[in-house]
Amino acid sequence: MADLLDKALEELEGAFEKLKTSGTSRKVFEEKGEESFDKALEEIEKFAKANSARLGEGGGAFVDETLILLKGGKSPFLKLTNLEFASMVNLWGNDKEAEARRNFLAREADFEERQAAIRAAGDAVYHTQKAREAQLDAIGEVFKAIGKKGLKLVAAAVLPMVSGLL
Amino acid sequence: MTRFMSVVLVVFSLSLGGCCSCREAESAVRDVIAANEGHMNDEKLPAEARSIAEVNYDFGWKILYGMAAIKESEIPEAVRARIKPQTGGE
Repeated sequence: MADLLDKALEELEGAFEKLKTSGTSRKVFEEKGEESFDKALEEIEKFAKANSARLGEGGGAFVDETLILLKGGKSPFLKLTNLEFASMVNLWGNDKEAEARRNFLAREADFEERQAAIRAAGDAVYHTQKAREAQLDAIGEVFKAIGKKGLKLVAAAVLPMVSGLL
Repeated sequence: MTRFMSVVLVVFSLSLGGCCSCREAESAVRDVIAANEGHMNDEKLPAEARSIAEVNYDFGWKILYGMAAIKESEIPEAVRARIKPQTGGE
């Protein structure tokens, strides 16, 4: 299973390489740089391994299969992944920057700067939710593509997994 | 099988997305905590404003704990000392 997961992660890396040149991901990548991308991949790897462990013996194959689909370039999938990738790079590529910002806020910033930071934090949460809504729209497109019949077939198998992952 | 895997991918993506939302919220709360710490220690501010900042600072830590982003031991000692014990309902 470990081999399968490694292979799947390689595939994922390949898929994200493609994403670096498109849409939101490209913009984020240009702003944050190569280091942020590597950091995001590390986190995805950790996350995928943790979830594969939860899924048991079939976990590696599950990741492998899904990534093959991803690599296949189905447009709803790409749209979905694009949003998430941008979001992940934004978050995980910025640990040191965030720590420095918080040190500044706690020790050096003046009153106006601190108030601006509080407002910006609120705005960030608001915009994350907006992005989440866009993501759900993209998921809606995937469900449309699957169709009602397919949805019924998979619902029983997938629902228990949903509760485990979310 | 392809349809099944499509939905599995959506679930996988949703779980990643959910994870991202939590991280974004956690990061925002940590920023607010830091800004309020700055307010609390700003001697140019009136005592009342610094007191409000302290309440907000404590509240931020409680939110982080409430969203399971930190363990109780990670809450600063001073904040834990200010948390009133639960008295329980009727």
